[in-house]
Amino acid sequence: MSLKIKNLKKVYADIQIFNDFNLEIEEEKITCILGVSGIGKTLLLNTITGITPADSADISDFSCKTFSYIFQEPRLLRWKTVYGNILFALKDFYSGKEARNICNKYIDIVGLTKFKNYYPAAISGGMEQRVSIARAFAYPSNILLMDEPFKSLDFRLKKNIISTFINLWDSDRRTVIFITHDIEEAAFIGDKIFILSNRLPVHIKKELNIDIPQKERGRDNKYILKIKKSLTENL
Amino acid sequence: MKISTIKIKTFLKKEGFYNTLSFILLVLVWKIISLLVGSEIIFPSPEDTFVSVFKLFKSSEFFLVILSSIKRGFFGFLISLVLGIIFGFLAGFNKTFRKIFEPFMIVIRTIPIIALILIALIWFKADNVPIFASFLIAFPIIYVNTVEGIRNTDIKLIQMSKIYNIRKLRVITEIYLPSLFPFLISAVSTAVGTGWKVVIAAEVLSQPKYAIGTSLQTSKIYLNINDVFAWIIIAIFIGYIFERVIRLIGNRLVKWNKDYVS
Repeated sequence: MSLKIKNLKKVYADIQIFNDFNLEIEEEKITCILGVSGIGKTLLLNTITGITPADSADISDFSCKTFSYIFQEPRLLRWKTVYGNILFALKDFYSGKEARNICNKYIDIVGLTKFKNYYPAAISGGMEQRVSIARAFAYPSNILLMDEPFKSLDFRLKKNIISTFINLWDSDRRTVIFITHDIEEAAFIGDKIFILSNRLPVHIKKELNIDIPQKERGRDNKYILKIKKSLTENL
Repeated sequence: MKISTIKIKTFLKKEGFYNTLSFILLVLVWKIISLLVGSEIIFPSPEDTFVSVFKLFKSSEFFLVILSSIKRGFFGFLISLVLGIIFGFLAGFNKTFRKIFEPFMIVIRTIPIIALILIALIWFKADNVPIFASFLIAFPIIYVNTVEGIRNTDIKLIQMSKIYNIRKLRVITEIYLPSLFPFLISAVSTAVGTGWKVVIAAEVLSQPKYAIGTSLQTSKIYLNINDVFAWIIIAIFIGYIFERVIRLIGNRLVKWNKDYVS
Protein backbone atom coordinates (compact mmCIF):
# COMPACT_ATOMS: atom_id res chain seq x y z
CA MET A 1 0.00 0.00 0.00
CA SER A 2 1.16 3.50 -0.71
CA LEU A 3 -0.01 7.07 -0.30
CA LYS A 4 0.23 9.38 -3.28
CA ILE A 5 0.80 13.08 -3.66
CA LYS A 6 -0.22 14.00 -7.19
CA ASN A 7 0.26 17.21 -9.20
CA LEU A 8 1.18 19.37 -6.25
CA LYS A 9 1.31 23.05 -7.17
CA LYS A 10 2.36 25.76 -4.76
CA VAL A 11 3.58 29.30 -5.09
CA TYR A 12 5.15 30.56 -1.88
CA ALA A 13 6.43 34.13 -1.42
CA ASP A 14 5.99 34.68 -5.17
CA ILE A 15 8.19 31.72 -6.04
CA GLN A 16 6.90 28.62 -7.76
CA ILE A 17 8.14 25.97 -5.34
CA PHE A 18 6.13 23.00 -6.59
CA ASN A 19 4.84 22.53 -10.11
CA ASP A 20 3.24 19.18 -10.81
CA PHE A 21 5.25 17.55 -8.06
CA ASN A 22 4.52 13.85 -7.50
CA LEU A 23 5.54 11.58 -4.67
CA GLU A 24 4.61 8.12 -3.50
CA ILE A 25 4.94 7.24 0.18
CA GLU A 26 5.06 3.60 1.14
CA GLU A 27 3.07 2.76 4.25
CA GLU A 28 4.79 1.49 7.37
CA LYS A 29 8.16 2.42 5.95
CA ILE A 30 10.45 5.35 6.55
CA THR A 31 10.53 7.57 3.53
CA CYS A 32 13.38 9.99 3.63
CA ILE A 33 13.28 13.22 1.67
CA LEU A 34 16.77 14.56 1.20
CA GLY A 35 17.40 18.03 -0.13
CA VAL A 36 19.41 21.19 0.35
CA SER A 37 18.16 23.95 2.64
CA GLY A 38 15.44 26.27 1.39
CA ILE A 39 14.14 23.92 -1.26
CA GLY A 40 10.67 23.58 0.26
CA LYS A 41 11.01 20.44 2.36
CA THR A 42 9.12 21.85 5.35
CA LEU A 43 6.55 23.33 2.97
CA LEU A 44 5.97 19.86 1.55
CA LEU A 45 5.09 18.52 5.02
CA ASN A 46 2.91 21.55 5.72
CA THR A 47 0.90 21.02 2.54
CA ILE A 48 0.37 17.38 3.51
CA THR A 49 -0.96 18.31 6.97
CA GLY A 50 -2.84 21.35 5.70
CA ILE A 51 -0.94 23.88 7.85
CA THR A 52 -0.13 25.61 4.55
CA PRO A 53 -2.69 24.53 1.95
CA ALA A 54 -1.42 23.74 -1.56
CA ASP A 55 -2.59 25.85 -4.50
CA SER A 56 -3.76 22.63 -6.07
CA ALA A 57 -2.97 18.98 -5.44
CA ASP A 58 -4.47 15.56 -5.20
CA ILE A 59 -3.57 14.44 -1.71
CA SER A 60 -6.79 12.60 -0.96
CA ASP A 61 -4.79 9.60 0.29
CA PHE A 62 -3.85 11.73 3.29
CA SER A 63 -7.21 13.32 3.96
CA CYS A 64 -8.46 10.83 6.54
CA LYS A 65 -5.09 10.24 8.20
CA THR A 66 -3.97 11.54 11.56
CA PHE A 67 -0.48 12.93 11.98
CA SER A 68 2.09 13.30 14.65
CA TYR A 69 5.03 15.55 14.09
CA ILE A 70 8.56 15.79 15.42
CA PHE A 71 9.62 19.35 14.75
CA GLN A 72 13.08 20.84 14.43
CA GLU A 73 12.57 22.34 17.88
CA PRO A 74 10.91 20.30 20.63
CA ARG A 75 7.87 22.63 20.81
CA LEU A 76 6.99 21.72 24.37
CA LEU A 77 4.69 23.69 26.62
CA ARG A 78 7.00 25.31 29.16
CA TRP A 79 4.27 25.30 31.82
CA LYS A 80 3.79 21.56 31.66
CA THR A 81 6.10 18.85 32.92
CA VAL A 82 7.57 16.10 30.73
CA TYR A 83 4.58 13.97 31.70
CA GLY A 84 2.10 16.81 31.22
CA ASN A 85 3.41 17.56 27.75
CA ILE A 86 2.77 14.04 26.55
CA LEU A 87 -0.57 13.81 28.31
CA PHE A 88 -1.53 17.07 26.58
CA ALA A 89 -1.61 15.31 23.20
CA LEU A 90 -3.50 12.27 24.48
CA LYS A 91 -6.27 13.71 26.65
CA ASP A 92 -8.81 14.07 23.82
CA PHE A 93 -8.37 10.47 22.67
CA TYR A 94 -8.07 8.25 25.69
CA SER A 95 -9.75 7.89 29.02
CA GLY A 96 -7.80 9.18 32.00
CA LYS A 97 -6.30 5.90 33.08
CA GLU A 98 -5.43 4.75 29.59
CA ALA A 99 -3.78 8.08 28.79
CA ARG A 100 -1.71 7.91 31.98
CA ASN A 101 -0.51 4.41 31.19
CA ILE A 102 0.51 5.36 27.65
CA CYS A 103 2.36 8.42 28.95
CA ASN A 104 4.32 6.39 31.44
CA LYS A 105 5.13 3.74 28.87
CA TYR A 106 6.65 6.17 26.38
CA ILE A 107 8.45 8.23 29.00
CA ASP A 108 10.04 4.98 30.07
CA ILE A 109 11.02 4.00 26.51
CA VAL A 110 12.79 7.30 25.88
CA GLY A 111 14.54 6.95 29.26
CA LEU A 112 13.06 9.94 31.05
CA THR A 113 11.23 8.26 33.93
CA LYS A 114 13.39 10.07 36.47
CA PHE A 115 12.59 13.39 34.82
CA LYS A 116 8.87 12.79 34.47
CA ASN A 117 7.92 15.69 36.72
CA TYR A 118 10.52 18.16 35.45
CA TYR A 119 9.61 21.28 33.54
CA PRO A 120 11.28 21.79 30.14
CA ALA A 121 13.37 24.67 31.54
CA ALA A 122 15.03 22.20 33.90
CA ILE A 123 16.09 19.56 31.34
CA SER A 124 18.58 19.64 28.45
CA GLY A 125 17.77 20.26 24.79
CA GLY A 126 18.40 16.60 23.95
CA MET A 127 15.97 15.50 26.65
CA GLU A 128 13.39 17.93 25.37
CA GLN A 129 13.69 16.40 21.91
CA ARG A 130 13.18 12.96 23.47
CA VAL A 131 9.95 14.22 25.00
CA SER A 132 8.91 15.46 21.58
CA ILE A 133 9.64 12.00 20.12
CA ALA A 134 7.74 10.28 22.92
CA ARG A 135 4.78 12.58 22.34
CA ALA A 136 4.78 11.78 18.62
CA PHE A 137 4.76 8.01 19.22
CA ALA A 138 2.32 8.14 22.12
CA TYR A 139 -0.18 9.96 19.95
CA PRO A 140 -2.43 7.60 17.95
CA SER A 141 -1.34 8.75 14.49
CA ASN A 142 -1.23 6.99 11.12
CA ILE A 143 1.64 9.04 9.82
CA LEU A 144 4.67 10.42 11.58
CA LEU A 145 6.26 13.50 10.07
CA MET A 146 9.78 14.49 11.00
CA ASP A 147 11.31 17.81 10.03
CA GLU A 148 15.07 17.62 10.70
CA PRO A 149 14.51 16.77 14.36
CA PHE A 150 18.18 15.91 14.97
CA LYS A 151 19.56 19.07 13.42
CA SER A 152 20.50 21.00 16.54
CA LEU A 153 22.01 18.07 18.45
CA ASP A 154 25.72 17.33 18.77
CA PHE A 155 27.18 14.17 17.27
CA ARG A 156 26.99 11.83 20.29
CA LEU A 157 23.56 12.98 21.32
CA LYS A 158 22.31 12.63 17.77
CA LYS A 159 23.52 9.03 17.56
CA ASN A 160 21.88 8.30 20.85
CA ILE A 161 18.53 9.82 20.01
CA ILE A 162 18.45 8.29 16.54
CA SER A 163 18.83 4.84 18.07
CA THR A 164 16.03 5.64 20.55
CA PHE A 165 13.91 6.62 17.59
CA ILE A 166 14.77 3.45 15.63
CA ASN A 167 13.92 1.27 18.63
CA LEU A 168 10.60 2.97 19.07
CA TRP A 169 9.74 2.74 15.41
CA ASP A 170 10.76 -0.89 15.25
CA SER A 171 8.26 -1.81 17.95
CA ASP A 172 5.53 0.45 16.61
CA ARG A 173 5.80 0.71 12.82
CA ARG A 174 4.18 3.73 11.31
CA THR A 175 4.40 5.48 8.01
CA VAL A 176 7.20 7.96 8.47
CA ILE A 177 8.10 10.90 6.28
CA PHE A 178 11.49 12.11 7.35
CA ILE A 179 12.98 15.31 6.03
CA THR A 180 16.67 16.08 6.18
CA HIS A 181 19.61 17.68 4.43
CA ASP A 182 22.00 15.29 6.20
CA ILE A 183 23.27 12.36 4.13
CA GLU A 184 24.34 10.36 7.17
CA GLU A 185 20.90 10.59 8.79
CA ALA A 186 19.22 9.62 5.53
CA ALA A 187 21.44 6.57 5.10
CA PHE A 188 20.86 5.38 8.68
CA ILE A 189 17.15 5.94 8.89
CA GLY A 190 15.49 5.77 5.49
CA ASP A 191 13.96 2.68 3.86
CA LYS A 192 13.51 4.75 0.77
CA ILE A 193 15.31 7.98 -0.04
CA PHE A 194 14.14 10.62 -2.46
CA ILE A 195 16.72 13.19 -3.45
CA LEU A 196 15.24 16.55 -4.35
CA SER A 197 16.61 18.79 -7.07
CA ASN A 198 18.66 21.87 -6.16
CA ARG A 199 16.61 24.08 -8.39
CA LEU A 200 13.04 25.36 -8.16
CA PRO A 201 10.44 24.25 -8.92
CA VAL A 202 11.40 21.12 -7.06
CA HIS A 203 11.42 17.71 -8.65
CA ILE A 204 12.76 14.34 -7.58
CA LYS A 205 16.23 13.84 -8.92
CA LYS A 206 16.80 10.30 -7.78
CA GLU A 207 15.30 7.60 -5.61
CA LEU A 208 17.09 4.90 -3.71
CA ASN A 209 15.99 1.88 -1.70
CA ILE A 210 17.89 0.59 1.30
CA ASP A 211 17.03 -3.04 1.91
CA ILE A 212 18.77 -3.78 5.18
CA PRO A 213 17.01 -3.10 8.51
CA GLN A 214 18.02 0.08 10.36
CA LYS A 215 19.42 -1.83 13.33
CA GLU A 216 22.01 -3.58 11.17
CA ARG A 217 23.34 -0.43 9.57
CA GLY A 218 26.79 0.14 11.00
CA ARG A 219 29.07 3.05 10.26
CA ASP A 220 31.44 0.86 8.22
CA ASN A 221 28.82 -1.36 6.61
CA LYS A 222 29.93 -1.59 2.96
CA TYR A 223 26.43 -1.29 1.61
CA ILE A 224 25.72 1.85 3.64
CA LEU A 225 29.02 3.38 2.56
CA LYS A 226 27.99 2.79 -1.02
CA ILE A 227 24.59 4.39 -0.41
CA LYS A 228 26.26 7.39 1.19
CA LYS A 229 28.58 7.78 -1.77
CA SER A 230 25.67 7.63 -4.16
CA LEU A 231 23.74 10.21 -2.08
CA THR A 232 26.75 12.54 -2.02
CA GLU A 233 27.09 12.35 -5.78
CA ASN A 234 23.44 13.10 -6.36
CA LEU A 235 22.66 15.78 -3.76
CA MET B 1 20.50 21.47 57.08
CA LYS B 2 23.47 23.23 55.57
CA ILE B 3 21.44 24.42 52.61
CA SER B 4 18.65 25.75 54.81
CA THR B 5 21.09 27.71 56.97
CA ILE B 6 22.65 29.23 53.89
CA LYS B 7 19.20 30.02 52.55
CA ILE B 8 18.20 31.74 55.77
CA LYS B 9 21.47 33.64 55.83
CA THR B 10 21.11 34.91 52.26
CA PHE B 11 17.50 35.72 52.98
CA LEU B 12 18.43 37.77 56.01
CA LYS B 13 21.22 39.40 54.09
CA LYS B 14 19.15 40.21 51.05
CA GLU B 15 15.52 40.69 52.02
CA GLY B 16 15.53 41.36 55.71
CA PHE B 17 18.65 43.46 55.96
CA TYR B 18 17.97 45.84 53.10
CA ASN B 19 14.28 46.11 53.90
CA THR B 20 15.00 47.05 57.48
CA LEU B 21 17.70 49.46 56.43
CA SER B 22 15.51 51.25 53.92
CA PHE B 23 12.64 51.37 56.41
CA ILE B 24 14.85 52.94 59.06
CA LEU B 25 16.16 55.42 56.51
CA LEU B 26 12.61 56.35 55.51
CA VAL B 27 11.52 56.99 59.09
CA LEU B 28 14.73 58.94 59.69
CA VAL B 29 14.12 61.22 56.70
CA TRP B 30 10.56 61.67 57.88
CA LYS B 31 11.74 62.59 61.38
CA ILE B 32 14.29 65.08 60.04
CA ILE B 33 11.70 66.79 57.83
CA SER B 34 9.23 67.02 60.72
CA LEU B 35 11.98 68.59 62.88
CA LEU B 36 12.86 71.05 60.12
CA VAL B 37 9.22 72.02 59.62
CA GLY B 38 8.94 72.23 63.38
CA SER B 39 5.15 72.25 63.55
CA GLU B 40 3.10 69.27 64.67
CA ILE B 41 0.03 70.76 62.97
CA ILE B 42 1.62 70.82 59.54
CA PHE B 43 3.99 67.86 59.53
CA PRO B 44 3.65 65.39 62.38
CA SER B 45 6.60 63.30 63.51
CA PRO B 46 6.73 59.53 62.91
CA GLU B 47 6.19 58.68 66.58
CA ASP B 48 3.05 60.84 66.82
CA THR B 49 1.73 59.31 63.62
CA PHE B 50 2.31 55.77 64.89
CA VAL B 51 0.51 56.64 68.11
CA SER B 52 -2.42 57.81 65.97
CA VAL B 53 -2.31 54.60 63.92
CA PHE B 54 -2.46 52.64 67.13
CA LYS B 55 -5.41 54.68 68.41
CA LEU B 56 -7.29 54.22 65.14
CA PHE B 57 -6.52 50.55 65.22
CA LYS B 58 -8.21 50.27 68.60
CA SER B 59 -11.30 52.24 67.60
CA SER B 60 -14.48 50.21 67.12
CA GLU B 61 -15.06 51.07 63.48
CA PHE B 62 -11.51 50.60 62.27
CA PHE B 63 -11.90 47.18 60.66
CA LEU B 64 -15.25 48.07 59.18
CA VAL B 65 -13.63 51.10 57.54
CA ILE B 66 -10.63 49.32 56.05
CA LEU B 67 -12.60 46.22 55.04
CA SER B 68 -15.14 48.41 53.24
CA SER B 69 -12.37 50.08 51.27
CA ILE B 70 -10.63 46.79 50.55
CA LYS B 71 -13.93 45.33 49.38
CA ARG B 72 -14.40 48.18 46.91
CA GLY B 73 -10.85 47.81 45.63
CA PHE B 74 -11.30 44.07 45.31
CA PHE B 75 -14.56 44.27 43.36
CA GLY B 76 -13.22 46.98 41.05
CA PHE B 77 -10.18 44.83 40.40
CA LEU B 78 -12.15 41.61 39.93
CA ILE B 79 -14.47 43.17 37.35
CA SER B 80 -11.44 44.66 35.55
CA LEU B 81 -9.66 41.32 35.53
CA VAL B 82 -12.57 39.30 34.16
CA LEU B 83 -13.67 41.86 31.55
CA GLY B 84 -10.08 42.81 30.70
CA ILE B 85 -9.22 39.19 29.93
CA ILE B 86 -12.43 38.54 27.97
CA PHE B 87 -12.13 41.71 25.88
CA GLY B 88 -8.38 41.16 25.59
CA PHE B 89 -8.95 37.68 24.17
CA LEU B 90 -11.51 38.99 21.67
CA ALA B 91 -9.19 41.78 20.56
CA GLY B 92 -6.15 39.53 20.54
CA PHE B 93 -7.80 37.09 18.16
CA ASN B 94 -9.82 39.51 16.08
CA LYS B 95 -8.25 42.51 14.39
CA THR B 96 -11.61 44.09 13.51
CA PHE B 97 -12.70 43.96 17.13
CA ARG B 98 -9.39 45.47 18.21
CA LYS B 99 -9.73 48.35 15.73
CA ILE B 100 -13.34 49.05 16.68
CA PHE B 101 -12.53 48.94 20.37
CA GLU B 102 -9.46 51.18 20.07
CA PRO B 103 -11.25 54.61 20.28
CA PHE B 104 -13.09 53.46 23.43
CA MET B 105 -9.79 52.49 24.97
CA ILE B 106 -8.23 55.84 24.07
CA VAL B 107 -11.09 57.65 25.79
CA ILE B 108 -10.91 55.45 28.88
CA ARG B 109 -7.14 55.74 29.09
CA THR B 110 -6.86 59.50 28.62
CA ILE B 111 -9.86 60.83 30.55
CA PRO B 112 -8.70 62.66 33.71
CA ILE B 113 -9.33 60.48 36.75
CA ILE B 114 -10.97 63.30 38.64
CA ALA B 115 -13.43 63.95 35.78
CA LEU B 116 -14.29 60.31 35.82
CA ILE B 117 -15.00 60.36 39.55
CA LEU B 118 -17.21 63.44 39.14
CA ILE B 119 -19.27 61.72 36.47
CA ALA B 120 -19.50 58.59 38.58
CA LEU B 121 -20.80 60.71 41.48
CA ILE B 122 -23.77 61.66 39.35
CA TRP B 123 -24.43 58.13 38.12
CA PHE B 124 -23.81 55.87 41.09
CA LYS B 125 -24.45 55.46 44.80
CA ALA B 126 -21.61 56.70 47.01
CA ASP B 127 -20.57 53.13 47.81
CA ASN B 128 -20.13 52.20 44.18
CA VAL B 129 -18.33 55.27 42.85
CA PRO B 130 -14.89 53.98 43.95
CA ILE B 131 -15.58 50.59 42.38
CA PHE B 132 -16.47 52.19 39.05
CA ALA B 133 -13.47 54.53 39.14
CA SER B 134 -10.98 51.78 39.93
CA PHE B 135 -12.52 49.59 37.25
CA LEU B 136 -11.97 52.23 34.59
CA ILE B 137 -8.36 52.63 35.70
CA ALA B 138 -7.51 48.93 36.00
CA PHE B 139 -9.45 47.58 33.02
CA PRO B 140 -7.26 49.13 30.28
CA ILE B 141 -4.10 47.85 31.97
CA ILE B 142 -5.40 44.27 32.04
CA TYR B 143 -6.87 44.57 28.56
CA VAL B 144 -3.70 45.90 26.90
CA ASN B 145 -1.51 43.26 28.49
CA THR B 146 -3.90 40.45 27.60
CA VAL B 147 -3.91 41.55 23.95
CA GLU B 148 -0.12 41.75 24.03
CA GLY B 149 0.10 38.30 25.60
CA ILE B 150 -2.23 36.71 23.07
CA ARG B 151 -0.33 38.22 20.18
CA ASN B 152 2.94 37.02 21.64
CA THR B 153 1.79 33.43 22.08
CA ASP B 154 4.20 31.17 20.22
CA ILE B 155 2.61 30.37 16.85
CA LYS B 156 4.72 27.19 16.73
CA LEU B 157 2.88 25.82 19.76
CA ILE B 158 -0.44 26.60 18.11
CA GLN B 159 0.67 24.72 14.98
CA MET B 160 1.69 21.81 17.17
CA SER B 161 -1.75 21.78 18.81
CA LYS B 162 -3.38 21.76 15.36
CA ILE B 163 -1.33 18.75 14.25
CA TYR B 164 -2.36 16.90 17.40
CA ASN B 165 -6.02 17.89 16.95
CA ILE B 166 -6.29 19.51 20.38
CA ARG B 167 -9.77 20.87 21.11
CA LYS B 168 -10.21 24.67 20.79
CA LEU B 169 -11.18 25.16 24.42
CA ARG B 170 -8.09 23.29 25.58
CA VAL B 171 -5.89 25.36 23.27
CA ILE B 172 -7.23 28.45 25.02
CA THR B 173 -6.93 27.16 28.58
CA GLU B 174 -3.71 25.18 28.18
CA ILE B 175 -1.73 27.29 25.68
CA TYR B 176 -3.02 30.85 25.45
CA LEU B 177 -3.83 31.37 29.11
CA PRO B 178 -0.50 30.13 30.54
CA SER B 179 1.37 32.10 27.85
CA LEU B 180 -0.44 35.11 29.21
CA PHE B 181 0.62 34.72 32.85
CA PRO B 182 3.99 36.47 32.66
CA PHE B 183 2.29 39.44 30.97
CA LEU B 184 -0.65 39.43 33.35
CA ILE B 185 1.34 39.28 36.56
CA SER B 186 2.99 42.66 36.05
CA ALA B 187 -0.29 44.06 34.71
CA VAL B 188 -2.26 42.83 37.71
CA SER B 189 0.32 44.23 40.09
CA THR B 190 0.11 47.67 38.43
CA ALA B 191 -3.69 47.50 38.16
CA VAL B 192 -4.14 46.69 41.83
CA GLY B 193 -1.73 49.42 42.95
CA THR B 194 -3.26 52.13 40.80
CA GLY B 195 -6.78 50.88 41.46
CA TRP B 196 -6.25 51.09 45.21
CA LYS B 197 -5.11 54.73 45.00
CA VAL B 198 -8.12 55.61 42.86
CA VAL B 199 -10.50 53.87 45.28
CA ILE B 200 -9.32 56.09 48.10
CA ALA B 201 -9.41 59.24 45.93
CA ALA B 202 -12.97 58.42 44.89
CA GLU B 203 -13.95 57.77 48.50
CA VAL B 204 -12.72 61.23 49.50
CA LEU B 205 -15.16 62.71 47.01
CA SER B 206 -18.10 60.30 47.24
CA GLN B 207 -18.01 59.92 51.04
CA PRO B 208 -19.36 56.41 51.64
CA LYS B 209 -20.30 55.82 55.29
CA TYR B 210 -17.32 53.55 56.00
CA ALA B 211 -14.19 54.24 53.96
CA ILE B 212 -10.53 55.16 54.31
CA GLY B 213 -11.15 58.09 51.95
CA THR B 214 -14.04 59.34 54.09
CA SER B 215 -11.93 59.02 57.24
CA LEU B 216 -9.13 60.96 55.56
CA GLN B 217 -11.51 63.75 54.58
CA THR B 218 -13.08 63.91 58.04
CA SER B 219 -9.68 64.09 59.72
CA LYS B 220 -8.72 66.88 57.35
CA ILE B 221 -11.88 68.87 58.09
CA TYR B 222 -11.13 68.69 61.83
CA LEU B 223 -7.53 69.68 61.09
CA ASN B 224 -6.39 66.45 62.69
CA ILE B 225 -3.18 66.09 60.71
CA ASN B 226 -1.96 63.18 62.85
CA ASP B 227 -4.95 61.12 61.76
CA VAL B 228 -4.51 62.18 58.13
CA PHE B 229 -0.96 60.88 58.25
CA ALA B 230 -2.09 57.77 60.11
CA TRP B 231 -4.67 56.92 57.45
CA ILE B 232 -2.09 57.47 54.72
CA ILE B 233 0.25 55.04 56.49
CA ILE B 234 -2.57 52.50 56.75
CA ALA B 235 -3.45 52.90 53.05
CA ILE B 236 0.20 52.45 52.05
CA PHE B 237 0.52 49.38 54.24
CA ILE B 238 -2.58 47.74 52.73
CA GLY B 239 -1.39 48.57 49.20
CA TYR B 240 1.96 47.02 50.02
CA ILE B 241 0.34 43.84 51.33
CA PHE B 242 -1.72 43.59 48.13
CA GLU B 243 1.41 43.83 46.05
CA ARG B 244 3.21 41.14 48.04
CA VAL B 245 0.27 38.75 47.84
CA ILE B 246 0.01 39.22 44.08
CA ARG B 247 3.73 38.61 43.61
CA LEU B 248 3.43 35.47 45.67
CA ILE B 249 0.49 34.12 43.68
CA GLY B 250 2.19 35.19 40.46
CA ASN B 251 5.39 33.33 41.25
CA ARG B 252 3.37 30.26 42.09
CA LEU B 253 1.60 30.43 38.73
CA VAL B 254 4.80 30.70 36.72
CA LYS B 255 7.03 28.45 38.76
CA TRP B 256 7.73 26.61 35.49
CA ASN B 257 9.45 29.67 34.14
CA LYS B 258 12.99 29.81 35.42
CA ASP B 259 13.62 33.10 33.64
CA TYR B 260 10.82 34.78 35.49
CA VAL B 261 12.26 36.90 38.26
CA SER B 262 9.98 38.60 40.70
